[in-house]
Amino acid sequence: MKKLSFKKGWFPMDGLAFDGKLDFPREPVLEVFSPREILLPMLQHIGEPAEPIVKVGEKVTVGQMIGRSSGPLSVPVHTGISGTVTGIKQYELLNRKHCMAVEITNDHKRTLHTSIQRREKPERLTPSVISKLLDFSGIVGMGGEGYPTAKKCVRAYQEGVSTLIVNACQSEPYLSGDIHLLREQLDRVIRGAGALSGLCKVSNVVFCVMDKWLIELEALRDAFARFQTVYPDRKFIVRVMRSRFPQGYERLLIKALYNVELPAGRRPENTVGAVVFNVSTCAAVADMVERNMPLVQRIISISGDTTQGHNMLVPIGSYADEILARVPGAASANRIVMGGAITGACLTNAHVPIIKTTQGLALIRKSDPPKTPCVHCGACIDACPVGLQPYLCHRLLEVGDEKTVEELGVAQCISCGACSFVCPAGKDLAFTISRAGHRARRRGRS
Amino acid sequence: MTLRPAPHIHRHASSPYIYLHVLVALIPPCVAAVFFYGVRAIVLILWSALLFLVSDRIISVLLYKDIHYYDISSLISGIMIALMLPANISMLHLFVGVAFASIFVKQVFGGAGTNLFNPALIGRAFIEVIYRVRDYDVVLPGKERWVIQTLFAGSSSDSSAYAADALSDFTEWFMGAVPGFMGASAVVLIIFGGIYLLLNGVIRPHEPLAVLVTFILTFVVFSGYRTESVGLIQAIAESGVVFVAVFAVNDYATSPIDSRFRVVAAFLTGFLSAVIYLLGQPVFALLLPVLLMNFLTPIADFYTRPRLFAQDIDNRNPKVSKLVETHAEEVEP
Amino acid sequence: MNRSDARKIVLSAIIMVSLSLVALIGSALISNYSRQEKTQNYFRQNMGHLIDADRFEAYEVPEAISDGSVSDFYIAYDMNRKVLGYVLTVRISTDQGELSSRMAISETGDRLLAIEVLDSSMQSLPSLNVMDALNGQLQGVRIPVALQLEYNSEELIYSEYPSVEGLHDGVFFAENDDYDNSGYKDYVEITVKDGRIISVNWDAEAKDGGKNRAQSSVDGEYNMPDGQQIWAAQSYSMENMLVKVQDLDKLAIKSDGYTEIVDGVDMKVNVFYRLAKECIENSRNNVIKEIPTEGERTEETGTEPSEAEELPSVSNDAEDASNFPGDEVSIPSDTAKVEIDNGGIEDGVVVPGEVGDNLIESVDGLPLSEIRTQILGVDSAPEFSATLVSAVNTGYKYIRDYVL
Repeated sequence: MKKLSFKKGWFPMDGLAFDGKLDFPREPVLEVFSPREILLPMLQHIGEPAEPIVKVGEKVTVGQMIGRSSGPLSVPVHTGISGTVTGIKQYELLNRKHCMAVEITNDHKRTLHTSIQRREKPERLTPSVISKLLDFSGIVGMGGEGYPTAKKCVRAYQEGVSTLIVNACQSEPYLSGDIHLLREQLDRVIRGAGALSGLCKVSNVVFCVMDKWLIELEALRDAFARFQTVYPDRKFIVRVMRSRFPQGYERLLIKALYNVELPAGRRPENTVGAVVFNVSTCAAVADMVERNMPLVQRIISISGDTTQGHNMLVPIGSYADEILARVPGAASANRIVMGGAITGACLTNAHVPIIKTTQGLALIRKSDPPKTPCVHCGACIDACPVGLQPYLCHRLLEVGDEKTVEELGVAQCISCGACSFVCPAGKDLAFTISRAGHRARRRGRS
Repeated sequence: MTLRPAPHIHRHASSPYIYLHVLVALIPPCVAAVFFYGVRAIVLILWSALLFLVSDRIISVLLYKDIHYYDISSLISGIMIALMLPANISMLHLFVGVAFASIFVKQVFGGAGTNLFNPALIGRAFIEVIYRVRDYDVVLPGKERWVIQTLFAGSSSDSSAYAADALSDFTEWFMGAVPGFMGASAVVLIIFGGIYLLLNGVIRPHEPLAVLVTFILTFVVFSGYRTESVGLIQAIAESGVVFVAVFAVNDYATSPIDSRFRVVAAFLTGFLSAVIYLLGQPVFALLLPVLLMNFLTPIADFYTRPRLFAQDIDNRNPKVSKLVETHAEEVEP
Repeated sequence: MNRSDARKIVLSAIIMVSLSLVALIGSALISNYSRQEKTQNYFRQNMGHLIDADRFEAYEVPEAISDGSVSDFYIAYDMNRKVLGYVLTVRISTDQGELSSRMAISETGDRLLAIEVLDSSMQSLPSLNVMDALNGQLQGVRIPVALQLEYNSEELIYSEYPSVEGLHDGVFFAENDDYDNSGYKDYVEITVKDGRIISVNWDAEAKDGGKNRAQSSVDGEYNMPDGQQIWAAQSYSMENMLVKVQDLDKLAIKSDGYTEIVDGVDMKVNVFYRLAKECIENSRNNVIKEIPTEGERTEETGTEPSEAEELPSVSNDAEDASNFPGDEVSIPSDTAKVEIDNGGIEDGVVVPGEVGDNLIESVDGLPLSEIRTQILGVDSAPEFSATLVSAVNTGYKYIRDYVL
């Protein structure tokens, strides 16, 4: 099968940063993690924060709605544990936004909410019912995007898209939640994709898999054959991508599939007629459609140079430090990173809740390479997937020449971090350039 | 807890690490130099390398107050200068060349990474220009290679120096066992170093192959125009083109930063090298083409720019339906 | 850079060193780097048909570097490291073009063992028959060789330089009044015969009664500045040139004492000019000064070979060389006998008129007294024959002057 990809980027096998450890663990996901308490920020998505609808002292059960959608671009928040609400407080998120947060103490009983029941024949549901269910479920793009899935479906339906792309290209090394879903809960993913395709009224469902996961291809084909009878009017297709970072980014995925380059700010719905959903999102949709279970838990990958990588299914809102307490080797880490090791953000304090868009936790002990003068090796140019000249942008930004940098196209930066990853001189290229890119896009919008 | 911007993992190659790899890759030609020229070669190589290091260090501390960065590339440049010289060079000549390369080629332009020309090649060319190094006077010292007196007196004349060109066979040319450069003509050993660099991802194979292929083709095509016939193997060894291909064309600081133009420059280097060699100037066949390409590098860097993502795309008229149709046809499992 | 990286670097450095050593030693074993052996094979291949020697060794005579006509010089040894002979490559330029030939000369320096023509750019290149005939004539003869040809041999010598009017015959002598800074007293002797200067000798005697300056310079005790030939060679050139041009003023000695006319003379020659001038004046006035006979001053004329045993010798057995030039040489011309009988300072001078018309008074700068063989040459190719003979004589002179 032909392998698709974009230009440049880098192959993670080039430099296994964690001393040659495998890119993804083979063990199944650790199933149950029951935290002592969770903190549910009301803003875990793009848009307006939800409104808390519980009071302090109220008993809640698994799947119960905690926060209510407060606007067109807002999604509700549900609890993943049963217990007592012990506090409602103001909370500052990692991206410096402020919202209300609900603190719930676990009673470790895992009492399910009464609305959570297995639904007969979920594939018979009409689009309007699915749309209502999605509105209620609080599902957002779980690949880190955080866009409300229900709104995305509506927009895709209005644009009249013909293809639904299931993005299983979790290209960042050591993040492996997607492949665990594909391997262990493939039916769930396909059911979710089927429901979403029915909602968006598309006929083609394209699974994008990376070639390091080629062993999953046969299983995918078998499952497609089974589900062809369930969804007779859909065409399930699988496409293989090269294992190249950062393949999972939407614009690079579209580039690989369609050879169309989306400018910054354009969406694939109105450009190539395709809508992209993450594998985790599809699985969450399947939960909602089949069991009425809203988005209350997710798989996070725990990786790092002090620990063996593994995956955990954790309730959303669990504190990172409580999770890491169960991880051997976490204590010796110098840095705790929320997200992947490439794009994640450093935590000053691990007492931070996991939210819907958190893909993993990375524990880094190794210090950064020494700062040396730029040797003009050109590695950053060969790595930048959007064709910037990071060494030049960095130097111009150092002298404050923002205008030239904007002319060089810094607004196209997708903040993938590939330039910093390959830089032998230890420059913080990605940091300076992605910030300049944000500023440039903001200026472009205004 | 450390706070650092993303990314938190890096490729396993920092600049000092890369330079250490290059140093290791320079070991085989050094071993060849010592094998053939003995104690004199060791002394010259160490003298050149340490001199370059000390000179760079002093100047960079004085000029740039750059106290913390120990530049290993100085050692590389120093060793390269020594390897490109014949073994009968005096330490004073070497000192002049190294000082010129370090001060006027490297540090005046801003130190490590910002130099316009390859300091090693310029230093070698400087020695050639002001002292007219006559490499054909060099004689392989033979059994005297470990005699310490030859360091000062020069190796004694040996009747085997006569007719050396006609007598040297395949193996000797490829091993550098002929009078000439100390290490820059030890083809096989330089290739060892090149393979080491390739395996460690320090250089790409494109540029060395481009240089060698162009050199061989140009030589084969144009060698008919030269009166005295020279074998291809002799030309490869004598012109030091393999040394250039492995250690100079891929030099980070002085080659075009865009990888495509690096290959173009490599092609030109091979071509010019063969032409200059055929004109009868083996030393300048080694030095001039690379220096010329170094000269063109800033121009190439200024005018070449990678294609920006989504540049020149007419976004108002995307051919959606057509694309989707072709896609659907393509992806039938 | 951590410990494991450092370990990796050190390990790979060790691996690279050992790999290189394996490659170098392996290739040394394959090709054996037996340069000596291969050189000898190459030499045997190229020169074995001239002289059947076991070993050839290239030898560079430092004093002879400026003598461009001999490009290669090898000494041929047999199995017991005994000198068998010498092999020279001689390049002769004439009006007709260039002739490059290689010859083998016996270890006594007076017999041509074999000769071959390497390449020639002469306009009238003779046929192979001619070459064979010449080779046959030259093979094994004693040298130097003169050509017995019936053409006006006067043209071969320096007849274009007329002799100076008014010279009286005799031997004339002039010397410096005092010893110079280096402790030598220069003197010049000029021999005039039939109004022509036929021999000049310029030397200087040492203050302490030691060796003459020419001898000292040959022995390396009297050194010239770098790049110049030894004093003996330069004075020899001056003497020869004066014999050639006859007129001292044509040597164009400048006021600063240097001359540009004479090849290979870089030193100040104003002393020579002054003394030679005095000698010529003496000759004009027919004033024969008493030649001091004390000491070991050699009474040779400049065009004669020096004493063989005093010249640097690469030969192992100096006894052989000392016999040279032999006394009992067989010369077909009876003229030579007369000259030999004369002995003394007039040795080697052929008096014109006493010899046959087809003979000349000197061949290639060699006096006829030294000529050991006369060959007929090939009539159809006179220039070629002359050039080849000249090459043989050049080789002879080279060995006589620089080797023996």
